[in-house]
Amino acid sequence: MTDLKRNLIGLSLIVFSIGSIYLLNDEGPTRIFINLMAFAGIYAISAIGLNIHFGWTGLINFGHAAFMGVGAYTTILLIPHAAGREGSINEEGLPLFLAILIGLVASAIFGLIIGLPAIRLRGDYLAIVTIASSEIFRLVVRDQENLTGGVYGVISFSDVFQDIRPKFLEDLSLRLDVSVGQLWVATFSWTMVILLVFLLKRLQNSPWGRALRAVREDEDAVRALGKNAVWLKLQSFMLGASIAGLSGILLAFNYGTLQVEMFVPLLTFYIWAIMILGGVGSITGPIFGSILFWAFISETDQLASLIFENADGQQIAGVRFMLVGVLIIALMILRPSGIMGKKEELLLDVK
Amino acid sequence: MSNNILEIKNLRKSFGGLKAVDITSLNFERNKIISLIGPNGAGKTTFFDLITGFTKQDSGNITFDEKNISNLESYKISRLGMVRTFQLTKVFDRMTVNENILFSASSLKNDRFINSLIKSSSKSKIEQELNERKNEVLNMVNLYHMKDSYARELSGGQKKLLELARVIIQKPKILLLDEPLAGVNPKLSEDILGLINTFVKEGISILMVEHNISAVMKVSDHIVVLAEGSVIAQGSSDEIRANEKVVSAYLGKSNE
Amino acid sequence: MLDQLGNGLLLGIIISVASVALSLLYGVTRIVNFAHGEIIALGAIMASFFSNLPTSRYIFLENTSPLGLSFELSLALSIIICGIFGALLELCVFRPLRRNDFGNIAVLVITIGISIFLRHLYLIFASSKPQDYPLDLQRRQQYFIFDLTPRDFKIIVYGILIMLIFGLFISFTSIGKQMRAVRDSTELANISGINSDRIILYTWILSSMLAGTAGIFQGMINDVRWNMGFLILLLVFAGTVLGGIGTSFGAMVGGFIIGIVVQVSVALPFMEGHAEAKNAIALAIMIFILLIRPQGIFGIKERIS
Repeated sequence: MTDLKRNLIGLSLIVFSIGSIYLLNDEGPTRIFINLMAFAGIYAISAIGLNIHFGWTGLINFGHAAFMGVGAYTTILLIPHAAGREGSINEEGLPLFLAILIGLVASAIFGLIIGLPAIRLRGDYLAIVTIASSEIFRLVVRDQENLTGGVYGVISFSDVFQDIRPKFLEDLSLRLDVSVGQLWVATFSWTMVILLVFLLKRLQNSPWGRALRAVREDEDAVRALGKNAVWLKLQSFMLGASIAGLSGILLAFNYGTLQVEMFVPLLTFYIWAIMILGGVGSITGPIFGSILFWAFISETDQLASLIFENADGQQIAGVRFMLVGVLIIALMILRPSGIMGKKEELLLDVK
Repeated sequence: MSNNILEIKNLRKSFGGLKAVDITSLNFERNKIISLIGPNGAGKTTFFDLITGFTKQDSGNITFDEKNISNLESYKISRLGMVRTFQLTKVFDRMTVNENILFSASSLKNDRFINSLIKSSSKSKIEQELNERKNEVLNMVNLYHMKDSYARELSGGQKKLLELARVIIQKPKILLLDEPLAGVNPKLSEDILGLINTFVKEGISILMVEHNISAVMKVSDHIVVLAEGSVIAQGSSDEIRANEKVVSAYLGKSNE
Repeated sequence: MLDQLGNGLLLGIIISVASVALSLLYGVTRIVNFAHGEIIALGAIMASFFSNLPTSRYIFLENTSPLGLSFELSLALSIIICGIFGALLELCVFRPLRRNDFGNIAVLVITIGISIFLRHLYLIFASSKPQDYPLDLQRRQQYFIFDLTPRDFKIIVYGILIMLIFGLFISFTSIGKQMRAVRDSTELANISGINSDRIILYTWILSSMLAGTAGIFQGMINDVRWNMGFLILLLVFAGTVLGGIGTSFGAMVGGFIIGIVVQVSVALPFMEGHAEAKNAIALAIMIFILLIRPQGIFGIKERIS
């Protein structure tokens, strides 16, 4: 299948799923759409980061949520915020762009810290170590109430992100009858997605990108040819972690609050599902995967109502997550290369 | 400058009590084709792993081109000019033939993240040179017509040629070939031996592990025989052919 | 500290049994089963469904009441169901995957999908409210130096008994020996005439039954929740890693140590006010072991990098 054909299929799937949102929802479909696009954009960024780890370098990272969390907490704690049970207010803060930059660097450093010991481990052990590290992060954040607000989290933070919102969005939001805040998050996120895609396209066929892929293929050969496989893996880990950090920051801006329970292993597995759905190793894969994924689960609420007479919040959530599980299994069995993945470059070792 | 490109002293390695390699002294002359033969399990590949830094020795000294490389990491040893191939070919399956070679040819500086991010004018010149060298080497091993194919699509023999191309483009000082003729048909064997001779003429030293005894006898300047981890004989092909110890330890098993 | 030691023994037994189950499964099938926690939970939840009285306030699914069977019967049924479930997993999922040459990473991701699916199935089935078994409250007594309820003590005794029986089984019975043979080398086992498919099936059954038992213990000591498996999964990994890959005895010891360490760490000075982070200590130990001594305490050196 050619690239063009794959892109067309992906595009039609997106059009179909967005169309179905408008079909199935009489009330406020655009609001649902913008909500979906905000989350899809954020998760796409995260999946792009994970793709660098797994798709390009072959690293099984089950701790991705922590990278998102480190970015989010670093940035949010650096702008004016109110944390903890008392909601104790921190008036001081850095300018937004500086806070974001430091957040990105913090994620990269966290990636380095985890990576240094872990990167030498074999696949399944790397998986266990990364998920354990992610949980340690979560437990420590939960524990350090003075700093992070513990289980109560950062209840609110200053509007600096919305302050830089371009004026034209306000008119647009009125016209479309959607929340302007979320419209801005969606716009910003997708702008970032496009920038990242350009960045990655440049890197993919570059010597550096090629080196990463060689590491994925055969580390021994890489070493035998004089290249430092460990350092290459670390660089990949740091870059992907940093990108994940960006998505975590945007996630916090989207919710308007920061809770440690946002960064649980289930989040990591969501990103994995999106990456697989979109096509492991494909640069644009996360875009298709994310939009389809979010369209899919936003429509499962309808499904839950069909199954259960008086579907309560829990049962709806339950059905939604069950379907995610089914999706992952089905993908792995039926179409492990996802939408955009090339069968020849299939990384998920399925024959 | 010493005549020896590689000098081994008191090299020892055991795996869980079993002695794998035990070599008191072994030297390899420059610019020669030296073959390492011996029955299965004699420790040949372990020896390769030890001197290329893929396995850590228990004790011993390894000197390469007058430099002590005893504790150096594998990729650093490779950068010094000792490049190896593997018994089971390690081509990058999910990358094209082109990419396999370009990866090897690209310098470390060129590989850097920053350099890959920023495209400068000097870069396109580098790219061009890289491509020319790549095509040269591809032609030499007769794989130019497969340059856009994925490496996994290659036949076993073609993969061996690709591995050779990958190592030769680095212009190493010494090439360590681990069974370059294994599973290769006679015609291709001839081609590969021809390539090896070309390499030597260009000043490269060759050290190879091989089971194909007739090829070894034909092409080697010097033969080292390993059995149970130690050197039991070395010399020219005639000397080895006549050596009683070798005959009983190995040649008795005849050409495979 | 002594208080926590008693708690540590209990948690230790639970993780121990679960680790043995996981270690056995990994040893024989080489599958890192992320759904292991859900099998643990299955035992606990089924036991709750069977044993709780219809008059209790627990509702399953939309309007199904628990069955009110005797606790002993409920235990037996639950463990049997876990065994059957394990068999179904092998027959319907993992054997076909094996036939089709699915690699380790793919299978790993599939177990994650299964885990997510099951966990939320339990959520729908048993709701998010914690449940307890219909057992009477007991007072703590002195057992040697520990403060435990008689039931706690029984759990420890039964737990140890189960592991002893398992140890004898794996060492001396024909099936046990075949399991070990497959664990050491599947190819060799096949060549020597062992039906590895059948042994793998037995392994799944045994592992699931042990996991279910651990879950029931956990339900008795703490409570039954839809996500109890996931909460304990990483601790079980830690126990298995600590004790050593490929040795059941190692998993036993490793699981025990993790359980004790987790509970006792709460009593340490630097943990003052940070009790919730006790799990983090066990996880840190696991990471440390994987880096420094990947074969664990008792394991054989396997290629880990």
